[in-house]
Amino acid sequence: MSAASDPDRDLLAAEYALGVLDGDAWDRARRLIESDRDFAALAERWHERLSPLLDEVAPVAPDAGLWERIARRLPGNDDMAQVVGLHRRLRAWRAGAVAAAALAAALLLVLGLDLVDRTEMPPSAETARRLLVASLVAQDRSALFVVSLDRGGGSLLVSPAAPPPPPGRSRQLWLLASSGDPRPLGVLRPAGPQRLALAPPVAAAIGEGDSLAISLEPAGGSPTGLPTGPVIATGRLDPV
Amino acid sequence: MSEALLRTLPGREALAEALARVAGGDRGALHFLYRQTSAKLFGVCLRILDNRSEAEDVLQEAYLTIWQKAGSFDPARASPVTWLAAIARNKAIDRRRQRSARQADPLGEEAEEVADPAPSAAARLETADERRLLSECMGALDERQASAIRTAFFEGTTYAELALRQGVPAGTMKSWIRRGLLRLRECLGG
Repeated sequence: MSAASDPDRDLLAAEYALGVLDGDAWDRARRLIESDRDFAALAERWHERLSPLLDEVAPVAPDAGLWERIARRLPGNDDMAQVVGLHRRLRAWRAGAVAAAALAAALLLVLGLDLVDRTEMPPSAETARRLLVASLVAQDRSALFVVSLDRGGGSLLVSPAAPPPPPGRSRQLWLLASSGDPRPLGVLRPAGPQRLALAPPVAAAIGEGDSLAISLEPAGGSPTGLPTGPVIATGRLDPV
Repeated sequence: MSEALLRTLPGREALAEALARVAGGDRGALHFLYRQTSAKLFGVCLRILDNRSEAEDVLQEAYLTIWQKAGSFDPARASPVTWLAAIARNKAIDRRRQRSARQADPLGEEAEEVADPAPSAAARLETADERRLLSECMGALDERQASAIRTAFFEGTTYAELALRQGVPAGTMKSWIRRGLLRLRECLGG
């Protein structure tokens, strides 16, 4: 909705950005900011228009201890500590062929940004329990694959931190059932994050505590429906 | 990207990059943002609240909100400092509104509006063009429109408070400010 088509709303957005509203008008504007993207965009425009005035505000250093008080209050500490810890572990790897962008993408997928709207609070305890992530680490620590289960979307998000497989080979992901044969979950792309759609019975059955494995197969995956090559990494699906 | 590298980026890009990382849960990036921007944001809160302890409370809340909402920052639509300052200002104004009438200062005796006469180089966050344009457009307004708009921006005063200070009815003050805002919009373009 452009300013021209509803001048009253643009004026309200201006008054909101200026900071001159009170009472009902203030409450109304704040609700609109949260619920109405067009209104929020109008207000943002006004913030930008007025922003040169900020130059006239003298900076004042807050107390030295203030950052600590903020850091202690960052919500979802356990969830974020785990995720940030994973990020640090990814960074500790000898980068080699692994680009920083791939690591960032891996982290974003681990956070399940397809699952959780980034504008919301970090995952609540309940959501965190539903987020299952497996870190599949190669024995020689030359590769790491982060796999997270998007149960609602019936898919797995896979992020590699690894150089591509040797030519003529593909990596394939398997579900290791407690009994019976490994079930194929999909062939991995040589590089970059990807989403593997799960057949509905598999999506329903897969869950916390399940083991996953990656094997090295001929290009295009195992021709037999069972692993034919060496297992290069394994991991377990656990809550974040 | 290392912090040393972050520091070599132009200010705006570094802040936008840091916000993207905060969106990914990077606490170090939030700390970087805090070190770069907290003095400016604290200054903003202090002018609105005129009380150090309250300003500190609000500043904490602001950075927690920045942590939560960093994912919604769009560098194509907004500049980082404007976005950060808007969060701090809104929280400070909200706090000011909640203050009891007893503590309010309707006659403005304490809170005189004093413009920083010579902003330091570090405080120059906007481009020279943007500053000049706003300055010219504000200059084209009636004195009382410009003055009211400036006071509202820096102090977060309500229409009623501004009207009281100027000794005019609230309706008159609303008129001044609204007309001033409309003229600013026309003058600034778009």
